[in-house]
Amino acid sequence: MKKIFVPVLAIVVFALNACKKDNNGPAVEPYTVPETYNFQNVDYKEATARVRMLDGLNKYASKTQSSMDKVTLDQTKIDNMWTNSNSPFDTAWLNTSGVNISEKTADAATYKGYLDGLVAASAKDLTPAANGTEGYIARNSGKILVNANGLEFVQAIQKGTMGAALFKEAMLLLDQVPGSDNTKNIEGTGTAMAHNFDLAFGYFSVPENYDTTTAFATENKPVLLFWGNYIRERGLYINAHEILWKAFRTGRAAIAANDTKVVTEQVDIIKEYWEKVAAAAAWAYITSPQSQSGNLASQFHGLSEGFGFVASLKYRPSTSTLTAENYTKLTAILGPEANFYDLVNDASFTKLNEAKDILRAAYGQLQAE
Amino acid sequence: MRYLVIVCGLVLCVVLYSCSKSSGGPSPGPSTSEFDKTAMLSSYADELIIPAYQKMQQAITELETAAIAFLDNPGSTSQETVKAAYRNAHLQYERIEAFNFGPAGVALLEVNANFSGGLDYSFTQAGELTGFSIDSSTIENNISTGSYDLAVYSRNNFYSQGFPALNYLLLDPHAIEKFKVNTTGRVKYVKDVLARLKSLIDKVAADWGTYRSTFTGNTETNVGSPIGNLVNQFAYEMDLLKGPRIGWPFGKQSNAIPFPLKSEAYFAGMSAALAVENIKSLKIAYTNNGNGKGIADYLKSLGKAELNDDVLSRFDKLIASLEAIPDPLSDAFTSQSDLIDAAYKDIQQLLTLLKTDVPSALGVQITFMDNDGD
Repeated sequence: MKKIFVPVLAIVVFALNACKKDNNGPAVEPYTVPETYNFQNVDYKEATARVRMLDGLNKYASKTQSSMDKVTLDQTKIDNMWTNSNSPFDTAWLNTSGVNISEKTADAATYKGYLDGLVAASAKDLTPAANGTEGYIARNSGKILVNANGLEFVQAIQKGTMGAALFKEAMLLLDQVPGSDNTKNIEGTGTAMAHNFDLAFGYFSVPENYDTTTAFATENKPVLLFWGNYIRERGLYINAHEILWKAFRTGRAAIAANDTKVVTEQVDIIKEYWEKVAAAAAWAYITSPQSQSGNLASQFHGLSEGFGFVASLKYRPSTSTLTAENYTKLTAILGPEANFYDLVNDASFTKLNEAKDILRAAYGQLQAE
Repeated sequence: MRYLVIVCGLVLCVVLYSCSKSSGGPSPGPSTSEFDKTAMLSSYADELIIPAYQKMQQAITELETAAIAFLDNPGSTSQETVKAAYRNAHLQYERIEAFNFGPAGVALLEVNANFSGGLDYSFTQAGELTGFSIDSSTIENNISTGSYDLAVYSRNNFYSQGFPALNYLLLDPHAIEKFKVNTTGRVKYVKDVLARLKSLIDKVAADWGTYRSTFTGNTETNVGSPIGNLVNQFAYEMDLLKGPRIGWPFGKQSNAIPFPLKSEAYFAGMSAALAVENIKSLKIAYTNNGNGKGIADYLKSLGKAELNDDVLSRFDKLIASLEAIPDPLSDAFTSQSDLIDAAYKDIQQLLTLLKTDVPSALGVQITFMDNDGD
C-alpha cells in the first residue's frame, strides 16, 4: 500500500462505498484526502503548546546528563515550567498560551515526583549508582542519573509524560470525536468534532506536511517531537507511521465531508495503532538491554524508556487487547517497584522475556524478530 | 475540496483498509534448513565456551600463585615468573572475550577485567584517548588511602582493577621499587584486585552451569538470542580491534597522533600478541574451532558458502597482517606504521563482513551499540 502514496500522486479520490455497499445514513459526496494535513478551520495550538512545553522541560532536565559535570536544576524553574507560571519557557508564545502541562497530566504527582527527584539528585555531588543507591552511570560522553532501582529520572519523566499527558489526552479526545457535534462550525477552530480530532493530531506531533520517509534522526527532533518521532523510530516494523498519518488525514477529511462512518473507523485505527506504537517501543526497549550485557548505562537507559512506554499503556483505550490482568503483570516486571539491577542480573532475562510474551500475546508481533 | 482534478495516473481510487488484505509484515529471517542449531549451540557451550572459562580459571589461579611469590619477594626473577603467568592469563582472556553475554554480562566481566573504554566514548573532552587506559592515579590513591570498593560501577574503577591494574602493578619497570613504599597497602591492593578478578571469572564459569540450558534451548536469531548475541559479539570484537586495540592508539581518530600508552596492557609489552590472540580466537569462535558446528557452517547451510569463504580468507589475511607487527605495539605505532596501516585496512574489510553481511545473511540485528538518540 505505501508505495501508492508517492508525492507525484497529489490527489487521491476517496471512494469509500466502493468497499461496503450498506446504504444506511445520508449519502456522502465524494471527497479528497489531501497529502498533507491541510483543512479548513484547523487549530491545535493548545496541544502543540503542551508538546513544546514538555520538550522545553525535557531539554532542561537533560542538561543534567549531557556531560560528566554536575548540573544542578532549579526547583523553582521546574515548578514554573510544570504549571507555566512566571514565563518559564524560552519560546514566548508558550508563556502566554494560557495552558500548562500539569492540568492535562494524569497521575501528575507521580511524574512531578520524578522531576523533583531529578532536581534533588542533580544537587548532590556525583556518586556512582549502585543497587539500592541513587547516583550516576557514565553513558557515552555524559551520564545518566538513576534512582536506587536503576530507573533513569529523565526517561521516567520524558516517556512517562508522553503517556500520561500526550497519549492519555489524545485518547480522551478521540473517544469524544464520534459523539461530538459536527454541524456548528466555528470560524478558526471548526466544529467540536473537528476540534477534538485536531487537538489529538496536535498531540501526535508531526508537521502538517509530514513525510513518512523521514528517518528517525537527531536532526529531526525539532520537528518530530515525542510520538511524532517514535511512530517511525519504534513503529516502523508495524508501519505505524504510514498507517497513523493516513488515518489522521482520512479521518479529518471525513469530518469535513461529514462521513461519520469513516470518521469512526479512522478514530479506531488511530487509537489502535497509537497504542501499538507504545507497545512496540516498550518491546524494543525490553529487548535491547538483552544484547548490551555489561553496559549498564545502555541497559538502564533502555529499560527506563521501556518503563515509560509500559506506563503509557495505562492510558490505553478501552478497546485495547491488553487485559487489565496482563497490564498488572507488565507493571510488576517493569513498573515503579521494579529493580533494574535484578532484571539485568539474570543471564536468561526471564522476567524481561515474560514481559515480551505478554506484549506479543496482546498485540501480535511488534518488531522484527 | 469538491473540485476534483481527475487526471488519469494522478488519481487513485483508494480502497480502504476494510478492503485491503492484512499485510503480514516483513518476511522473517532466512528459513531454517536441515542445519541442527541445537547441536551447534550445545557444541559451542560444551566444547568451546565452558572449557575456555575453565582454562581461564586455571590461568588466573596460576597468575595468583606467581603473583603471591612475587609479592613475597619482589625481584627480577619472581617478576619474570609473574610476567609469564600474566601473559598466559591475558592471552586466555582474549579467548573468552567474545562470549561477553549471559553470565559474563551479569558479572560485568568485560568492564571489570579488561576495560576498553567502550566504543561510545573514545576521547575525553581534553582530547585524551580513553581506550585501554590505566588509571594509575586512582590506583595509587586507593593504595595510599586503603579505602576503595572495586565493585563500584565507574570508569575510574574499571581502569583501576583487572588486567589494566595488574600489568601496571606487577610489570611496570618501576614495579619492584614501588613495593618498597607502603608495602602492606600495595600488596593488599594487588591481592584484592586478583581476588576480585578470580571471583568474577569463577562466577561466570559457575553460572554457565545453569545458563547452559538457556543458551542451548533457544535457536532463534532475534535480539538477545544466543545466536544473535554471538554474532553481535563478533561484530563488537571487530569494532574493538578497529578502535581501542589498534586504530585509536595508532591515531586514526586523532590526526595520526598516536597514543602509545593506551595500547592494551601497556606495561606487559604484549599488545600486538593480544591483538593476534584476539583475532585468532574470534576465528575459532566463528568456526567453532572448525568442528562443523559453527556459525560458519550455519551460514553455509543457508547457501552462503561464498560469503563464508570470504570471511575465512579475510580472517587469515588479518591474522597474518597482525602477526607481522612486532611487540611492543606501542613502539610499532610509530616505527612500523606501514604494517599497522595494512592491518587496519584488513580489520576494516573483515569488520564489514562480520558487522553487515554475516548478520544480514543470518537474520541477526546488530544491536550492541548504544546509539539511541534520546
